[in-house]
Amino acid sequence: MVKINEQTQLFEIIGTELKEKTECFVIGGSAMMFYGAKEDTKDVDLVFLKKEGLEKVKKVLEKMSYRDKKELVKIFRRYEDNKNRPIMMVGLEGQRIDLFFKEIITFEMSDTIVNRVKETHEFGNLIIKVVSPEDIILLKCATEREKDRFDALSLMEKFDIDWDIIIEETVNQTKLESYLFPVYLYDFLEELKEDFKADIPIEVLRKIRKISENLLEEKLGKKKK
Amino acid sequence: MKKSDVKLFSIAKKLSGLQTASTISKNLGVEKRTAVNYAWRLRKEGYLTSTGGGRSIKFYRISPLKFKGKKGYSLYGLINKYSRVKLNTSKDYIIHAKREPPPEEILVRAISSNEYRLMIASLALFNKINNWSNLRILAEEYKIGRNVGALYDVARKFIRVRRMDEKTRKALLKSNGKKFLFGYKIKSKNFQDIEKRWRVFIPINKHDMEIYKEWSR
Repeated sequence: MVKINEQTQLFEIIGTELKEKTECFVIGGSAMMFYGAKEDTKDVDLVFLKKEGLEKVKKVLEKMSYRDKKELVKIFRRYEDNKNRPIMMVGLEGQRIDLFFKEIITFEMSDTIVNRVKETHEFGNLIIKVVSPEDIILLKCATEREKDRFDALSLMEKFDIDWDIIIEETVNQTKLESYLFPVYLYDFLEELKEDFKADIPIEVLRKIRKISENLLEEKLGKKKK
Repeated sequence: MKKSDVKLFSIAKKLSGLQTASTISKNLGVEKRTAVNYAWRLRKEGYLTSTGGGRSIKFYRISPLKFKGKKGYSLYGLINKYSRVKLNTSKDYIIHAKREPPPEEILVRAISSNEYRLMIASLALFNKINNWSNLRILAEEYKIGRNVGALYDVARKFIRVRRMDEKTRKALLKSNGKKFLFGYKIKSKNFQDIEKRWRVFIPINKHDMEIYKEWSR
């Protein structure tokens, strides 16, 4: 487990080792730690919009004795058919850093996500942008881990979630590569509402369901033709 | 979590954002005196920070996520520390460094930030500069030497600023500059003499600066 202090120290070291300003986005549990919504995380997830930035950070991590773990642990849904697999770096003490390039499995780092960033942290040459709580919830639906459901639940309790953003981004994702995203999201939110009694407005679930149904009808209609 | 902690957390969530004693009292439906007591308890638990007070109204910033334990120096917080024109923004840029960035660095970062309000608010920092040489080095590093010089001349016309030494001024005149990019077009023809001298466009008009002068008092 990585605690907030350890994460800060890690970023400080990377920032010192980097020779040029490198920008990335922090998602998942690490982002929640920045917001003070979580005390520790299993792995640090960084998303890069430039390949060279990812390579530079990877090199620094290798210098710090982190090794690239080639075989992926089966935590991501539908990762098998995904071309943009994350790079998993594992440290000597087992701490894990996942490096993503533009995509987080079924989710794409859109301009709208970038514009919603409210908090930026500068650690020397490493600039870390923390994605919004709404986007963390959206990203959590890409995994199959039980604890991600608890994280999403915790975010819903601690923040006043703007559900319009979630619906807008769901529609936005369908225009990008992940056209089935609303289906996964509906599945995820429905489970949270049913099993964990999450405070999700029924209207929101209905809207996402409608978007999913329309999408599926559209796709099936095209195939029949 | 104790029952009282849960209550305090739900109050923090309900009052999340910028508040005053009056708005807390209105939102919770309690007397102003009780609202101040709530503010005290929220601060004790780390849900609240405050600014102002004394002659001006005291503002409380409340968040269900505790403020305690936040590390680094907020760029907006530092601007608010030095400038009389305060910024209230939902965005934050946190610098993790061993020591607090000096006014020279804050000023250069604010001017190069491509954020109009941040740039305007930072002009008061010209009155806090102790090391002009450091300002020049940083301005050149960020490639905004001439922009800094031009904004200094504009600020000097309206507000009290420290005198820039001739050596720095000459060096800044010869240094680099770049376009101000704010994501929207700003037209201004009020400071053409300064623009000509420094060879950069100044995205501020006279009216802006007159308002700024009023606020800075």
